[in-house]
Amino acid sequence: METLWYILLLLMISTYLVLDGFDLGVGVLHLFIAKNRQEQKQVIQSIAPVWDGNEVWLIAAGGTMMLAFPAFLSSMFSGFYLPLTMVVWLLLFRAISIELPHYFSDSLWVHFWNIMLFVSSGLLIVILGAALANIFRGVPLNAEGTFFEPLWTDFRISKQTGILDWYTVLSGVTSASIFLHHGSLWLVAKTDGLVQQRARKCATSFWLTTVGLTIVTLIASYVVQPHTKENFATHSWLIFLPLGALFFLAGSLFFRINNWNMAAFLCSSFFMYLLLFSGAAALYPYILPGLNPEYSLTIFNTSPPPEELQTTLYWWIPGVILVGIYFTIMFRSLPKVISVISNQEHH
Amino acid sequence: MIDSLLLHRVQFAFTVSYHYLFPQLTMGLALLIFILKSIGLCGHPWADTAARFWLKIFGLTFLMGVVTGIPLEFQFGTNWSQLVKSTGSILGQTLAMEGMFAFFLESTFLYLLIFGEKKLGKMAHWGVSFLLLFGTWLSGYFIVCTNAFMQHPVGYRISEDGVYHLTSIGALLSNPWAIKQYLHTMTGSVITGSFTMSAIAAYYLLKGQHVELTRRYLKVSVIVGLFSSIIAAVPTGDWEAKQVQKHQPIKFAAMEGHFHTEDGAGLILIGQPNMDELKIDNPVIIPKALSFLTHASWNAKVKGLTEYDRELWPDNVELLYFSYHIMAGLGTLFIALMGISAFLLWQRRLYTNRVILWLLMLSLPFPFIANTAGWFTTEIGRQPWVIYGLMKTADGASQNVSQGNVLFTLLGFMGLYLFLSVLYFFLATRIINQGPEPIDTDQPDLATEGGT
Repeated sequence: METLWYILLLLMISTYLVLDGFDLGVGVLHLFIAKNRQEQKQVIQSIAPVWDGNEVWLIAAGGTMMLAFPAFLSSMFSGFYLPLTMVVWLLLFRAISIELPHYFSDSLWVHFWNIMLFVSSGLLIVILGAALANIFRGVPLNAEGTFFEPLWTDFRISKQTGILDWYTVLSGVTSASIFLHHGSLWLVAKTDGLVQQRARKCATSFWLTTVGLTIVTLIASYVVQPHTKENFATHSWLIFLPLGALFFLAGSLFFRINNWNMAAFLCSSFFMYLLLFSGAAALYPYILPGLNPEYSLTIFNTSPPPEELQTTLYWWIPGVILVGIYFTIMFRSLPKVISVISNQEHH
Repeated sequence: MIDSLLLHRVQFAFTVSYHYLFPQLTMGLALLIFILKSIGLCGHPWADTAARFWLKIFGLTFLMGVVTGIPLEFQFGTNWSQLVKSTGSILGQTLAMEGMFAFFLESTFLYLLIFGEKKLGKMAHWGVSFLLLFGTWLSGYFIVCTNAFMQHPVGYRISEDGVYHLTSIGALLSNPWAIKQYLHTMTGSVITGSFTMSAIAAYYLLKGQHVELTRRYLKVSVIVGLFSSIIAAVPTGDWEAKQVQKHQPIKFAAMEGHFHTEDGAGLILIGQPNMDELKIDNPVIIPKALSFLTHASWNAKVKGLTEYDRELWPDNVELLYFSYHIMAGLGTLFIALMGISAFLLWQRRLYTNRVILWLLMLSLPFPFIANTAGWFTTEIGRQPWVIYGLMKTADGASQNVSQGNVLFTLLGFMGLYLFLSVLYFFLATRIINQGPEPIDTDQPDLATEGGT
């Protein structure tokens, strides 16, 4: 039962990253890909109807984490107090910078919010990667299952880790590259004209950096988290998860070159899913490893008894099906391709 | 030296009170917009025009509600990690349900409601306005349910290690406390929605702008405002007070300012609590009314605060007392103001009576104050418990977060929310200055404009 919820939670978190991933990517890219106000609108129009729904996955994942692994949420959220509060602030800024420019067409106002959107989305895509890397690497948990990490220590991975070290920074950069690649594929699939051409160029560059950085990060992860070696040695089939991820990454290039743009975007989504599942499989059954393995939090010592988890399934499964229906309606109601919006201003 | 527990409490109180200013307006407006859409469906085009205007205010307010709501869920983990560790598997149920059943619904359908009018057609657009109403009100229910567990825990057991386990999800969702509190909270929200609508209508009428349209929705908002103001007092306010008296007698005694046990206790209308002498200074009292209201008998015994161990008193009796009296006092004024407005409406004199229009316009902030005071009453009154009678607030806070960090984030939130307030006022004023379009004109439709 715990394992099932581990997978369900992972599905929620990865769905959040895949969905919000493309709008975060677009939030950064819009500053370079759109050259005038019309193109700007075209780009933002591709994410404006959906970013809100995408972000709800984060809220729903938070709720799921609280009910399924309360001790994990308690330890992680209080331990990463400052970075998480800053994530909240960034999410807040990003939401208003997508929504507020509509109200006003003054160029200074629009420009300010565009820069805010760029900054908040950019910081978020780096921080999300670094945060996952912190969990993967492990934190200095004590016997009570709590910890508190300083922002950085000496950049190496030692007994007293910091939130930023070479590994977490590497992961942050990798995640930025993945999100930007993902975002450019969304734009390639959803726009036309000059914007699409520029997005195509971006996709090529970010595909290259993503391949390089992902391979380096996968190797680094294998080195940094000793538990990976045990899991992969005992269950050798797990190697298909990271290999599958790389396969889909290749697929995203193949389909894009052949102009199957939506297929390329979906490949990039599967790549992200498999990458996250690789990480989770490598940690299992740990959910927050301690630098001292004795104090590690596992899915078993952080969750309520299985009968409670089982009752939750009775409403959770219908809930997630309902969400699937909403999203199908939502994404199908979007225009297939968004063209440059005419000169007429609207509010 | 400020202790970190106080900072955790102030930060949560600040962010939750600020947040609640927005959902109380959107939940109330959702109902009014649905009413307008229903009138529109019956063949009155002015109502669709009015709905379009109010949707603009709704959209902006909803955005503020969303962005200030996210920090709250995070703060359970960051600031109240011990609470989550012990009760997360229970509190997480209702919080996750809110995400799964309400937020997804709202985020999906709000966009369709604002931008899809042309595309959807009349009937479907009306349906979407219902779904949005349903979503926002459902969201409110899950939050009140979460709070109700903390006020009146049900459906749980505590294991040896002090962790709370859910024994009945049905009991959690049908917590009698939640149902009464929900009805009272939602009527409060409808009051905010209708007072906001009538205040802006009064503003237009006083300025002589958009007269034709605003007269019509002023009528709607005054009728809804009168009903909701009455329901907020009787029966929902009465139910809520009786339930507090029954289950949380200490809170009840403190909010009424009732220090000493007596038979035939009087109801204090005005007065200041004197904590040194444990009495009310300068009181205005209705004799025997408290006994009657709580026990339906003029001479019944009502227990006073001194009956209980002082350790268990809320730590801020004065604030609790004033919050409650401000809420109840304003509630009475709302009934009076909407009663007079409705009477003038019936007499066909409302639209031209400048005095009452001024009063309606100026009363815009008061429902917000009343709802916030009501929330304060509930939450300060629960102290020193975070789970009433079971877990002290001091035991729920994160132990591993230094006070410097909490102070830093508290100041950060204050600065940020100040910035948000400025933006909100600026943009809301802009929408109001632009005003509704003339009746029967269609609005440019973003969703179709973006299409091929």
